[in-house]
Amino acid sequence: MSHGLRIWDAAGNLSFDSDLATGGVCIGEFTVSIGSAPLLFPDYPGLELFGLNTWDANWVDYALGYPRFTPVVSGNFLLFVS
Amino acid sequence: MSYGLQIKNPGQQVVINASGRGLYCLGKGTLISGPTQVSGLATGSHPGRRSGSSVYRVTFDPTMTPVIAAIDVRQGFRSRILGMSVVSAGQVNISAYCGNAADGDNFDTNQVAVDVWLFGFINTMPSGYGLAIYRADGSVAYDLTKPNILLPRSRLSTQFGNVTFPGVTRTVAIGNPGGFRQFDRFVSANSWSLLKQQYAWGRNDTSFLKLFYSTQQFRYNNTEPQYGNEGADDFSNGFIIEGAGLP
Repeated sequence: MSHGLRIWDAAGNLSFDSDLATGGVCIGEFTVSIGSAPLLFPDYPGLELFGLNTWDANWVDYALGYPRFTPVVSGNFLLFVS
Repeated sequence: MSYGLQIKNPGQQVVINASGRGLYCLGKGTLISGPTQVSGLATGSHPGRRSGSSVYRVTFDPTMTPVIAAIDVRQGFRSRILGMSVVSAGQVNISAYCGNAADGDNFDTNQVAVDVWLFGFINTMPSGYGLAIYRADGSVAYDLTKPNILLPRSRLSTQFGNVTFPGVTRTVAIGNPGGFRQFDRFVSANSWSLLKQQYAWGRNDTSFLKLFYSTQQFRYNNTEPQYGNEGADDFSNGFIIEGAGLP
């Protein structure tokens, strides 16, 4: 790596390397129900939002300049940004 | 975010975001049941043909909820998490599928034990030396002193087809690949059937992974409860993670 962050554990194993390719970063678990207000994510402008559980990309739009999640079914979703 | 720490890799992918919430490996499953092998006849009547599975238990720090399970994707096998049930606070059973040698009806005839792991969130303050990243509300985003943080290496496709991913030493998948179910109320008098195609991750190579389906079929008669409805293809996201450092 030219620059970035690496962390090793006490046994000398690399536990974190900011050069790693990544598929996304978890932002938490969210419980939603049909018809409830959309979830807004102004902390993540320019990033793509997606879910790990049963999921439809049509539930997300970026018209506000950041991800907006409009629940179409009720459930718990683990959401990620990338 | 307006301020806070964000780390991107040279490919401009987000690796750490201070508003994020890191997932950590809580432990590995211990086999408590199975593996049971496929049984029954695909063309037979009740109870039909049922695919195999195995069950694992993980005991973990009960503060680190919610939890999600990951599974080893062994070369030459089809693997998936079938489900998870709570035994008590800090203890879950994970039902898993890992089979190969499919028969003519696409049931795997050889079911084997497989490694599964449980991941969860940090909800308590770190202590000791090291680096931690906090969210705006003061909760822990990442505790980089803890081992086995979940770092997705590649996103898995939501459709059938090969998925290439960056080389990992040990391929582990997290997420639910989805499935398809077909319910038939009119098999014969007082009988119905449920055909489940459970999508599963498979791998024949070290650099790509493919979504397959493996069949599960159930036939019921009128002494058993009907459940399930005709369904559509239900795809879902998943991740490849590096399994080499997992316990």
